[in-house]
Amino acid sequence: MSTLSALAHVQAMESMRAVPLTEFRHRRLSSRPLVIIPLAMAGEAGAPLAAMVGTARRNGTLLVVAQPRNRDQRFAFAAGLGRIVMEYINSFRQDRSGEGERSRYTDTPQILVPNPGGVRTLADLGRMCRFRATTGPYAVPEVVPELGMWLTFLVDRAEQAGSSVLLPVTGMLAEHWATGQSTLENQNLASLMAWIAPPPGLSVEQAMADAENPDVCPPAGPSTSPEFDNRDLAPAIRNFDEASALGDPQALADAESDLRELIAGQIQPTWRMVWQAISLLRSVPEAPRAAKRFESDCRAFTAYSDYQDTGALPQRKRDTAIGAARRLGQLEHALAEFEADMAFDDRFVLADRRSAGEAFAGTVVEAEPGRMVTTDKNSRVPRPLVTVLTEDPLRLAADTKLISPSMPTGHKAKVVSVRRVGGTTRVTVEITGGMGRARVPKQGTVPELGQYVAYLPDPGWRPSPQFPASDATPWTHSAPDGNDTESAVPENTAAEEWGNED
Amino acid sequence: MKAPVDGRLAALRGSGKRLDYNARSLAALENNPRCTLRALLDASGSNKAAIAAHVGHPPAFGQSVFAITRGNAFEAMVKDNGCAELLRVLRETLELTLPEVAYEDLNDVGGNGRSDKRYERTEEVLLRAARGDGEGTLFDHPMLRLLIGGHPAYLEPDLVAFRIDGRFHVMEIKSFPIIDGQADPTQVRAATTQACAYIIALRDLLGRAGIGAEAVSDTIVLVAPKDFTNRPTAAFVDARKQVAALTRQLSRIERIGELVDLLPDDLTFDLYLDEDEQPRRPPEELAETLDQVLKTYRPDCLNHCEMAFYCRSRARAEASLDVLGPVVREQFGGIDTTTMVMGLARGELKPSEDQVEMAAALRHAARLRAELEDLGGAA
Amino acid sequence: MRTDDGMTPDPSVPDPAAATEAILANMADGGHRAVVVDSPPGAGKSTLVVRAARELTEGGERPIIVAQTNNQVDDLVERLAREHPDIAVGRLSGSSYAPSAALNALTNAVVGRTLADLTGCRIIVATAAKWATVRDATFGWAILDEAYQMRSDMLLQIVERFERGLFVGDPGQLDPFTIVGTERWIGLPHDPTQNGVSVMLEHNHGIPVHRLPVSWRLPLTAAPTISRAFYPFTHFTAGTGADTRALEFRTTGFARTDLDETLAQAFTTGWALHELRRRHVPRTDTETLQTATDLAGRLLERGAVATCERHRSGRELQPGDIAIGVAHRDQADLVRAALVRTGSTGAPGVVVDTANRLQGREFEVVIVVHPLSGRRDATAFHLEAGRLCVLASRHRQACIVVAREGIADLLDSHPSTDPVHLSVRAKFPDGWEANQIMLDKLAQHRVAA
Repeated sequence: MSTLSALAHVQAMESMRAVPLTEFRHRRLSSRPLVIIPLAMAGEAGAPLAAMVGTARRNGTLLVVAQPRNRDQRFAFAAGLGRIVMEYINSFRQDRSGEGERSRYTDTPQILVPNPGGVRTLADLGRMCRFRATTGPYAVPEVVPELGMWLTFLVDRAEQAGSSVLLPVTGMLAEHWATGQSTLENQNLASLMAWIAPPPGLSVEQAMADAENPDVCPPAGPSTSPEFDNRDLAPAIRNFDEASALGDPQALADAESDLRELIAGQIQPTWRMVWQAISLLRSVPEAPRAAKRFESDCRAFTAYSDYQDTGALPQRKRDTAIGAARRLGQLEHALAEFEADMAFDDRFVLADRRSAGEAFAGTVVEAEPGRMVTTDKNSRVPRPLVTVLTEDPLRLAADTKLISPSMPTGHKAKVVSVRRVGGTTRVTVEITGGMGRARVPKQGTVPELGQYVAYLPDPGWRPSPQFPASDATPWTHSAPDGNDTESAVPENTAAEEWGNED
Repeated sequence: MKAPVDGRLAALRGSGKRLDYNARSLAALENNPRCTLRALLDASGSNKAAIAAHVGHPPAFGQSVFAITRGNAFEAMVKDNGCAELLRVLRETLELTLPEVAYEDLNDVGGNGRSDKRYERTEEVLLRAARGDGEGTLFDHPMLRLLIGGHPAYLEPDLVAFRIDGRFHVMEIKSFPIIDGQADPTQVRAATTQACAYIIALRDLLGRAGIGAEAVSDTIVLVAPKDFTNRPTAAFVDARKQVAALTRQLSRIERIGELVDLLPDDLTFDLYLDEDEQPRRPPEELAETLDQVLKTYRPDCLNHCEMAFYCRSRARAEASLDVLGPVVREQFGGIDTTTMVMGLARGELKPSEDQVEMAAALRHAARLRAELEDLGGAA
Repeated sequence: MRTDDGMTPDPSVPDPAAATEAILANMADGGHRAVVVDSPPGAGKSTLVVRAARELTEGGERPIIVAQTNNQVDDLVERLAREHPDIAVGRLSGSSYAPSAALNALTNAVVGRTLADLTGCRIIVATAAKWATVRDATFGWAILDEAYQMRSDMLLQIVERFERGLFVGDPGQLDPFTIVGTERWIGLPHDPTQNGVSVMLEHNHGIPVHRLPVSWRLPLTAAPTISRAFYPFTHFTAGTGADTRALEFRTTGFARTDLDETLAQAFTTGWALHELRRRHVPRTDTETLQTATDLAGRLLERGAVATCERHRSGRELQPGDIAIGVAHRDQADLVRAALVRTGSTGAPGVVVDTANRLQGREFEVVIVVHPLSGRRDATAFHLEAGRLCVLASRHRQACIVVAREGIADLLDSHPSTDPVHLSVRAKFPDGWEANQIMLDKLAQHRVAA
């Protein structure tokens, strides 16, 4: 963190309101995101309790598992959620553009959950569903493994920096707004919203207090509050169990609707708050380079969709040696790109790097626009020198390659010298690219006297790593007894039980 | 520990019943060893939850009945039929050779459930086993004792196994799942902290009979549900570092006298309970007392310490940068409050000699923010 | 001259020549796909690499050498070419590489962009990154230098280039790292973020692991402490005796008594802790960084003469013999700028870098800005044993640590909050323990500023 971002948090704490950390929203926000609020039962291994799901604030569907320990009911829940999610995903598998290799869908699904716990719950659900068999003793509807595979795809993809196919709303908010509380508290959606947009008539302090009171703001999941569990949910589930034991259809229907009502009371405040957060986020302009990352999401979505169309196998439990190495390369590449893109797009992010001495901005005070040099190949090329006066605490070394968000695309430069004079710094840079091919630089490609310019280091280009073929893991990464040639589909998947059956 | 210190600690606690260290207070100790308030409250056996509630900041550490039920059901299932499922897991998953297995239940002693009696029985049985003339290889709910600051805290591991490679191993039975060989690191950490206390207590028990520390393994066996099933699986946890860390932190408690000496003589956290165990002390007076003791609030305390909401409210009231967490705080060096940060950033406060450099960085950052906001950045 | 805690090298410790012979014998017997050599700081790793390469060529092999940085490759090429003038040594490099004058002067060293340029070479050296771009060539043997700093995924990119490997490295230095925060591979034997040696050993049993037992770099004053702090299970000793190394000044000091006292402590005992006033400061604290700079400047100004087994009659220390080691890049930038500001012609020649970049390098005197200096909290980064190990084990003569008072309290009240994972062996040495041992040692050499 830079002094600048830290100062933003202090400003927020002093003024008791959130302050912006970025100029833009760096995540794409779909015009039709699918919001899922998953709730899980405490103590059970990822046992779903309920979910509210839908593409608009007004059309949320509430799915409830009346007895989360009952295996059939969990299946029914997974199938119900699966049908909604698949209908949504399939609606993006219609429009394609481009030919052959370049053919791809023009839009991607986007699932939004309230917090990072929501992502983990979907990951667990994906893991739980993707290996289920659709025939045999514990057969499930086809949509269950299909949901499992798609959720796993989305969760995996979400690890990639800059992707927007699956995002926690708290993360998007905290990327844009600094609050006067800690990262831990920022994971509570209601606490975070208390800073950004407290409910009408409430101060931030009051809203913060409410946010931590489960009776006013039920937790955004995946866990429900222990008080609610003990006071309301446990008796309601007991009623349901008793009614089903008695076989009284009316009592059962009553117990079930009581349960739904209880859970609706817990989940609806979060539902409304997520949609409120979405409309707040919509009011923040999207970063220019978000489009490039969206393209990358479209490619990944198309590739996975095509794989599904040709009969996909479920994703492995754990990555193979080569799969893991390949994924690490992709994740690192995506993160480096995302950080570079944000600094290039966003004056706030650039300022962050300026405050850390990794970038600078200022006014041109000297210029030698006509300077030419002779290259190794004995040709004369323009290499203008400009000197920028800045107050930034710059610590870039000579020869650092630079790019500039304030100059036309393709502009390249390098640091020649850095001289500190009192509280200011004079940086002389040589313009090395982006001036056109002629012997005289194109108009506007060289900073002029008095012009305000910003520079940051060129992140450069990194080659994508090449690994051995997936079926030829070398000796250093595979055991001779071939233990890790585990097939993609584990044995006895059908027999794998779901939780407690009592 | 010196008797006067003990007396002083008892006076700090006052009328309430002494509370022993437990899993949460050990976790709070590990998480924030620096905090004087926490150290004094724990060492004096004060009821932190009652104190926090009385000053208007009750802790929120409720436990769901579902989690409790599930935990108990799972442990019972693992131990059913002389730990049949457990043995299967130890043999199949961890590939252990357990030559002969004898199960010994130490849950109660002839109907006597008192901790000290159960401790004596445990001591006798485990020492016999360690000397090679006992039957047992699996000991169910032994009662261990850990002396913390001179006071016994009774601890009850789920299970201690002997003769895995000829050494005692602490086993923790937990109901959070191990999915594809991985489990939630926070939960594993909590289970490990508990198990480390058992390892230290067990070594202490054996050590007093002249048996070396190596008789107890630093490796914990964690037994938990496999994936999404109800069947157990197991994994080893290498706890060497955590055992060393907890040992260090427990030994710091021995130095509590140094902290006590700094307190005013009449300071007490006593709630002045009446016959119905209701506090009679005016909350404002208690709060004033708490304010006289140094506390080190970290946002992480919210996960571990009953006093956390109270400490956070004090930190907020003092405009302390502690509220924002160590990552933000680190940027400001020796500056403690938002008032000071903003005063220096705006150039309204004259920096002391030590603050000159920080003030320059802050003024630069403030200029940058002003520049961004002027240019009509985001809303 | 001086001893460390009264410990002297134990003559019964395995002799280094025998260790080398055993390694070469393992390589020659054809029974192993890999041979691993763990080398503590300055234990003759490069000597071993040069020797092993020669033996391989004599056996008719055409070995390749994999190093991690261009500097390391240059050093190896130079040494190989100089010590084996009869062997043509190839240096495979990228298009922007410009060979140094020293390299150009060697007649038996060839620089090439592709393997085709180096067909006449018996030994080919390149960085791992460069080897990763080579396709369709397989060599009998590879020598992988600084192998513990090479990530498993990098090994996977180059492993098809060779049939057998000699993995040489220092397990006590910094582990490779990734900026990506993911837990998905934890516990896997092929975790791509782990170092290549560990992953290879996980999958191949019966691989001989050797250890070089003697540090030729670290003086007798340093070896026992470094060994105890950072190599708790594999002790090593100093290869030089008590009277071999010495530092003295050409001039007497009087202008800056605080600096001179610290230098005197370092010159006579091999260590000094220059302790600044207790204060919480950001890591870019000028006073701390300026003090490190001033110590280097003062050392050069007064003219220090170093005596050692290579220069028995003494040699004046040059700027390049001195390094200033820090934890963060911004600190390094600021120290470099401060060296330039001193106005001294020599000062900018002092090497300033982060622990990561000082790995594998050697200097006469090293000035360390303690990673925990002035901090309120120790993070895993600042507490990492490998970081302090690199910083405290680069020197042949003396190590000076600059720190603010308060590290002892910081360690004393350090919370234990690292995540715990299933089925993962704890990494040793523990950062806390290693820091504590080092601090205890430094406390004996404390000079309050």
